[in-house]
Amino acid sequence: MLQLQQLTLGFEPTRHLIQDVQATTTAGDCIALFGLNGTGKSTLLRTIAALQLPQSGHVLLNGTDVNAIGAKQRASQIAMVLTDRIEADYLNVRDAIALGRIPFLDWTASLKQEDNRIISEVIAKLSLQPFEQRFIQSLSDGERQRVMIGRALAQEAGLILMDEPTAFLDYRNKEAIFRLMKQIAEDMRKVVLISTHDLEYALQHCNRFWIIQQQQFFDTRDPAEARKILMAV
Amino acid sequence: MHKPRHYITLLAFGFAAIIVLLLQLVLGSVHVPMATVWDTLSGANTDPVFNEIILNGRLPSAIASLLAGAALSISGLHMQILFRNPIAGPYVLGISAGANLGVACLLMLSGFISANSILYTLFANEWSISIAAALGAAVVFSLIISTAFRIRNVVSLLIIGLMLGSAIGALVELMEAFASKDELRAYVLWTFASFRQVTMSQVYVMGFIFAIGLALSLYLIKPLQAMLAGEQYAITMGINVARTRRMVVICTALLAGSITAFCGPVAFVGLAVPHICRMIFRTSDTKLLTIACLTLGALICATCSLIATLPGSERALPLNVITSLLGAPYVVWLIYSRSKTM
Repeated sequence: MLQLQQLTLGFEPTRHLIQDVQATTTAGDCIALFGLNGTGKSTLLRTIAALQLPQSGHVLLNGTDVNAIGAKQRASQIAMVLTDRIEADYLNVRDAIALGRIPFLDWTASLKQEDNRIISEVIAKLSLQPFEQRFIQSLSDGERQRVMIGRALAQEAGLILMDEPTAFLDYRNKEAIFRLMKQIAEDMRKVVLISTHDLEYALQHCNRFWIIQQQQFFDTRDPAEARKILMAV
Repeated sequence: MHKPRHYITLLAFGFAAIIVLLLQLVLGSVHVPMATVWDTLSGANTDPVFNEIILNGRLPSAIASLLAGAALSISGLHMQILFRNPIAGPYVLGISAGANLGVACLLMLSGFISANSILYTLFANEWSISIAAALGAAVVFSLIISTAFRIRNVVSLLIIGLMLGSAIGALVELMEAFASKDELRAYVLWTFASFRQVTMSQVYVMGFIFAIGLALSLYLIKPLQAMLAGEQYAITMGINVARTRRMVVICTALLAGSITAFCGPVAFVGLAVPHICRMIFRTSDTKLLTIACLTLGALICATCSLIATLPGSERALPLNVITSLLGAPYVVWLIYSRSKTM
């Protein structure tokens, strides 16, 4: 469903971060994206999400270039979990997850029965029922991250992009998030792409590994091979 | 999800605002019985004194107080969401500072304008102060807006607003140093904000601009709800963030700009009411908060205006004395309670 075709990324015409990235994903892929800071992990995620343009090449989603589809249609196909924290006062867990339904709502932003059903399902899937009415500012970092994953799930997109979702979490929560994302990819037949520095958890739980190293792009399903590539430098 | 108690509370606010509107017509330095007010409004009363007091005096100022409260509160809500900052208000983009400068120029530099010039004709009528305030606000507002979205750091933006405010304050003080006693007095009175001088024809203009601003606010409900999660999230949810920012800015210029031009810089209402609404409804739902700001903002501002008229007394208090006395302790408490939860 997601195809990267001869993708070249970078900020200046002559300075490339990575060149000629070729990859095709299949439903159920839980992909860990590795690379040192500044190698282009976030740039790749942002390019896939059409938040920025590639220098050359294409990102195809179900056969169509992501930059050729409308913003609303794109929102129904790609959901993101960013490092940004939501700081809104009096925003409870249910309402935060409901934000994921925004692409599908009319101008009054009123939730329909179908939207409420989807939100309840997400809450149940992530076992967030006990927190449903709690304000997100009262949650721990791990609980907050689960809520943000819930918001992305409520968007019902086939592709979920996550930018370092475990960066501020303790080891127990890191493990839990990777386990959850693998389960989501497998059970819901989604593609999950996670940029991360948490090698051990990712190698243990993800089923595919993309590595950006020395301006080269590696794609493997073998954790041992991924480890070898990572240790080669 | 909206609950029945939300609708009941909103209705109660709206009903209370109408009661306060009526009280503003009845109470004042001269007590006018309710029956006479009603006769005057329906055209049955022929007493020119009551007609003058009610139709040309109290009615426009009462309606202005409702419009001001609603407009500033909605505008404050927009600014707090856009800047993701709880202490942002309708005047964060320089409208109040600019209006101050415009009015100070008019009142304290008018001595330099020849009585025969076109400028004098333009500025020597009931609209003069409003025009000067609107022009001043437009200039400073444009100045801040042109830098606002180049600087993504909100704190820097607030500091720029503060610095510009200080610079303008210094300019105004410079003018004050050379102003006559009467000029100074006229300017200081304007900074207190008031609804008493608003005429019926000005209310029509305010009402018209308010209606456009309100329609825009309703259109902004969905994009602003998405912006609660931050601009990046809003983009990934299909929202055109750049267009939303532009529309919020236009909406603020219309809502806060028109009120400030006609009534002066009304303090604290725009900052405090959105917070009071969030606390009462315990929600961040933009639709519910927009309607709550509309009704509770109108109610609070009208009540402050009623208290400021000191019913039964010949004297009246400056409006900002009331809004600040109620608003300032509230803002202090707000900062205090937030620091405890952080």
